[in-house]
Amino acid sequence: MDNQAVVTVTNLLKTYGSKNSAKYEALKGVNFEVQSGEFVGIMGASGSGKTTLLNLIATLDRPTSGEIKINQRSISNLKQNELSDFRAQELGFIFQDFSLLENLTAAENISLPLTLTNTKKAEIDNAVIQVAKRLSIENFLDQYPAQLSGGQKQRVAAARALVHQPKLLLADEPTGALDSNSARDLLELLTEINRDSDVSILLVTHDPFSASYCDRILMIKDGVIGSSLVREKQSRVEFYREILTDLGTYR
Amino acid sequence: MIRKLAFAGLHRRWADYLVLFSGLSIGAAIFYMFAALATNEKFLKANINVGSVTQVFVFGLILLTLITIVYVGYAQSFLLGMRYKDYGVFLTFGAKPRKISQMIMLETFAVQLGSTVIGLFLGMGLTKIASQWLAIQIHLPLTGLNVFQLPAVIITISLFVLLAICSTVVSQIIVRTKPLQSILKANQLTNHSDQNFKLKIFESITGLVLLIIGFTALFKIEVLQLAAIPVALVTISGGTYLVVHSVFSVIINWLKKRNFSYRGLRLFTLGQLQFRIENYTRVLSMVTILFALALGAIVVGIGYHRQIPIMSSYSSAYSMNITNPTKATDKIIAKMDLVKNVSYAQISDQKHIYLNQDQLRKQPLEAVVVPKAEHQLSQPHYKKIAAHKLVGRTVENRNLMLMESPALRGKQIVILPTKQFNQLAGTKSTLQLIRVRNLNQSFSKLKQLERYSSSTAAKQGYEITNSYEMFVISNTLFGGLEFIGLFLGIAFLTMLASCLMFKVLSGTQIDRNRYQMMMKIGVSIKQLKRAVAYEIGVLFVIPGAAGILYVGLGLQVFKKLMVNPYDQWWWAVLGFSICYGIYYLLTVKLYQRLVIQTNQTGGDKHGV
Repeated sequence: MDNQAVVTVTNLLKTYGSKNSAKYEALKGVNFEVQSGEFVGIMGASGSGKTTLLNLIATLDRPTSGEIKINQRSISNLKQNELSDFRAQELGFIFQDFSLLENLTAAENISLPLTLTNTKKAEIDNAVIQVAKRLSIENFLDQYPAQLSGGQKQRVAAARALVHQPKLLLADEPTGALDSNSARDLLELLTEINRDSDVSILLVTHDPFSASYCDRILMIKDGVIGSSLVREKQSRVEFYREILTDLGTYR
Repeated sequence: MIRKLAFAGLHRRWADYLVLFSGLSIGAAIFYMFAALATNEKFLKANINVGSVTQVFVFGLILLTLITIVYVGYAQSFLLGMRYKDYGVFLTFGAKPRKISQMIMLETFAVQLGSTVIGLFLGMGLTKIASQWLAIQIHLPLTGLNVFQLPAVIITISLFVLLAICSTVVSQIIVRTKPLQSILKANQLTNHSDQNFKLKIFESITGLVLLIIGFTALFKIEVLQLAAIPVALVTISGGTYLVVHSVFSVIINWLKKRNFSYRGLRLFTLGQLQFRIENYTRVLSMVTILFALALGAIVVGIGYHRQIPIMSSYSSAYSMNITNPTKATDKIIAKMDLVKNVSYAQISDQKHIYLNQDQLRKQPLEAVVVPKAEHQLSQPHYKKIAAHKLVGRTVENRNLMLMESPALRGKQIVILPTKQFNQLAGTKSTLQLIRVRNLNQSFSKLKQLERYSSSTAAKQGYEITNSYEMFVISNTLFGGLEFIGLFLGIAFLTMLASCLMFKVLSGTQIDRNRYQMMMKIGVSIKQLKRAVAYEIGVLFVIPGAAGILYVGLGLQVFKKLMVNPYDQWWWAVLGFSICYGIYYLLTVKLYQRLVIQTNQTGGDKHGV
């Protein structure tokens, strides 16, 4: 692991509300870094600002002040189109609701990020098969999302997020809609991908079980990062207990 | 409280409601326009001298009612889609299903009846404008056309009240009987079970065969007589449905496997289209048929517009006859587009009219060549009349006499050489005869000239002296048909395009998620907007192109009935396509606004 920061967030501030209405400070000065190859969790109760933070890093929203750098590149000054290209090339997304297009087959869904960058069809087909094998979904590539189970859908979504080999994978409550077995499978898969292919993962969750798969957890509360937990040499179960303890005292 | 909840939506989503309101108002307006004509017996009898006109209107009214039902159905599903989540929330709060039903009723009635009332006023305004404009265009003074037609008001209101009741009941059943989750999912699940390739091929072949039968029936209309029309309507509608349902999804499936699709958003657009065509087959085939009917009505209407002057030109070789031209008439004539302009000097006494033989030889009088029946549909040919034929009881003599001023009629014609002619004493007069290139274009000038030529009061009976008079008479006979054709065409166009618009817009609730998702994975707003334009473009182009093709084929039928029906029909197609295109642009703009939200609000609280 080289010590290069994939994400650097400095004094991030986000305020909602116009001049005339009551203002709401979702983020009040957030600072942190995610190193290359790191698997970082962001935990917090709802309303704590974690989704706002993810949206800002995902360039879906603009900060009121402060700076976000991804791969040493400041994203605050990018124009609308540059932001889109940036999302298409550097970021992968996994959402709680899978966000698969139900009118495209699994394979076609996975191809989407590559078609956006106008990759050749042969290359796309190749990349889709590679990633599908890796996620063990090669058997249902021709099926439509409606024909898949929740766990399978999320695997397809993960494949779509990874097919263009992004530097950073953003996962927003990816296990939220899955049963416990599928959730465990997915988290193990994410860990494996993180370990083997140098993809940094930023996982937003309020579930301590999901969080226990991370290397490091940032606890966010009322728009600031309150504390952070580092796994180091602990086993996942030990780390899980630490998270629970921390949640018990932190609240 | 219920009222408050029911109308709370109005406040928040005024833009969505505006779409709904304006769409329904247009629907009601068109229906009223049509009903106002159909129920006005006095107007129909006064203007249209065709026995079957009532049937035409009954047929038209049924068709329009069917379209209106479908139209209101789409509008209601647009409304329901908008409010569905709210109803679900109310239900989870513990609202009784009965209360929800009341809310649906209140909202549906408020929206549908409100827009009907607006539509009625709009319809009256449109009737006024359309009839005045058309009357000027076709030189037809429409008598007895009332803007306010009570029976039409009653019919329109009853239909829309009935439809409001029906849509309320249907919506209530949907909301009350099915669990929320299943409805929301039902919208998302696409039917991929019938992707069977062989079945699709079979479907396309059956569809094509039906289309061939339909058009053959139209071409053989002389053999099949009136039976050809229902046969063609059924087979062509069925064939269109099958072809749209099968051929396009085969094409899309094929395209999806090509390299072509793997660029930018093409794959996504094709997926969207495939999904849509499965769902849109009915509306697309309906719109195709309507498009063809509307465009056909306009083309035929315009055809009659060209037909009338040509038919009229057969009545006389000359468009206007002027006895003793003055400076005033010269001034008018100077501005006209003439193909013939001749003047004859005449001298008359008690019993005779003397004509100059040399003048007649230099510029002989002309007559229309009476054509064989099947050639009567093009511009007439003219032949020169030998001077001697003008003397005595001949057809040529009679035709010339008709063009003389009443005072000279009944006198004997004598033809003299110049020398003798010049020596005659008697009343001198000049007969000026003109022939215009196009009676339609020269209509207003001819009307001015008519005032200078012999007074109409002096005319005897219904004698037609020149082709202008024939034109005026034919216009009152056939102008009504022309008016109906144009009027129907415009009404159908407005209706069908708004139908398609609604169907597309009613899908926004489901599409919104997809487009938001595409934005998240890095598609720029510009690309998404372009994708929307392509996607809806295809949905508009399919019925449009098929409709034009159908009209092109259907016009064959009119080859026997009118002068070259294809002459300038592209102008009708062009004008029609422009109106259709405006609808397309409007739909795209509305859709883009409804589906692609540019400013994201973050946080769980906002429901992102």
